[in-house]
Amino acid sequence: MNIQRIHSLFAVASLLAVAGCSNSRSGAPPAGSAAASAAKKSEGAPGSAALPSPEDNYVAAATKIACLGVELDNADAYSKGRAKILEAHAYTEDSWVAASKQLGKAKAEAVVAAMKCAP
Amino acid sequence: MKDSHRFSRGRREVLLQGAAALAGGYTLTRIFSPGLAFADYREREVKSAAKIKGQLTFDGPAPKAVMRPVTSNFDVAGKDPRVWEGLNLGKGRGLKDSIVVVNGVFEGKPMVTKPALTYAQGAVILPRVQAFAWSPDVKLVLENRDPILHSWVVYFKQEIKKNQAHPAKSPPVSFGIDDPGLYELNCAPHPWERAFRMAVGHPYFAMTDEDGRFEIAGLPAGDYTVDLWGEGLTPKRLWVPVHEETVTLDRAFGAADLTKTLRGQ
Repeated sequence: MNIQRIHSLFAVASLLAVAGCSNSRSGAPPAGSAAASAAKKSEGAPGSAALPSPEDNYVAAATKIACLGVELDNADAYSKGRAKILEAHAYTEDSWVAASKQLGKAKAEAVVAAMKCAP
Repeated sequence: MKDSHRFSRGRREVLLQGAAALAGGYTLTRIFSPGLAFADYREREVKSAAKIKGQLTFDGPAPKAVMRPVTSNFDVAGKDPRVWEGLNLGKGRGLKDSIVVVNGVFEGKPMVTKPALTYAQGAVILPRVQAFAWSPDVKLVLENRDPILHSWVVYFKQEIKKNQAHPAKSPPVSFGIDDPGLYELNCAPHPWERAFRMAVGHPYFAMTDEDGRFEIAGLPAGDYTVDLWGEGLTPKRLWVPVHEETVTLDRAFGAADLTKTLRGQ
């Protein structure tokens, strides 16, 4: 009797372990957990993906471009580096200029505060 | 071979510093290294050129300058103490003789380079502050216009780059400038003498006038950092998008922007 109970408990534990393992492999939090409900919320909320705001995105890109202009010593390396930064922040040349015209002055202090190439 | 060369160079500099210290003392300055290392600046026609203009000012009470006594050659130098570090306050609250440098400009208007003339007169190094367009062939020309011995000590990034005696009535001394950036000039036997030279690897820089005003023209549209340097102030680097014909860049410095020396720390 006791042995049967132990066997059945072991079987349940094994099933739970397998279920947990497959959940962790898929990257989904266990059902009913706080993380799962948060994930469910974020799936449903429009615009709540991990993309930064246009302002934050501009500051992040400008911060990198600012230091590129200080640290590099030739035009080719600069334009290649700049192009990579724009791409990483989902800017085209035109959209970058538009963003800079719109946000450049307002966010100048934020860019200076964030850049890591202070004199 | 490389390592031994470095070692001997290091030892030579230590010896030079020791010699300079024995000769009259010196003070290492806070070194400012703006992004000036543009070895391949290229001239090209600038369509729809823009201009940055503005004024640098100082708000608040003027700090007391740090003075150094005159200790020798009184017949030439006089007896009044000399300013070692102070603000270059001009008319009104304007910061004169301050330097504005645009970073990240790799091509644009023509660059005119010429030897940067410096001279000692009345046991003062003149001009006190100077900015000039730099290329590897530009030299600093040093003249001794006094009837006494001077001994030039030139610092760059806290290293002595030149230490040379310059007797009265001898020809000018030329000093090749290997790198752009800020240089400090002292005189070993006259520890009150001090001057600054900013070598800029492109033509997009300016010195402020008596009112603290400046203008940098012919700039290709783009996004730049702009460095501000003034004696007695901690250097500033600003983010300046240039997408209009004229961009105004006014900057008011305050007590918090003073160097530690002028803040008495």
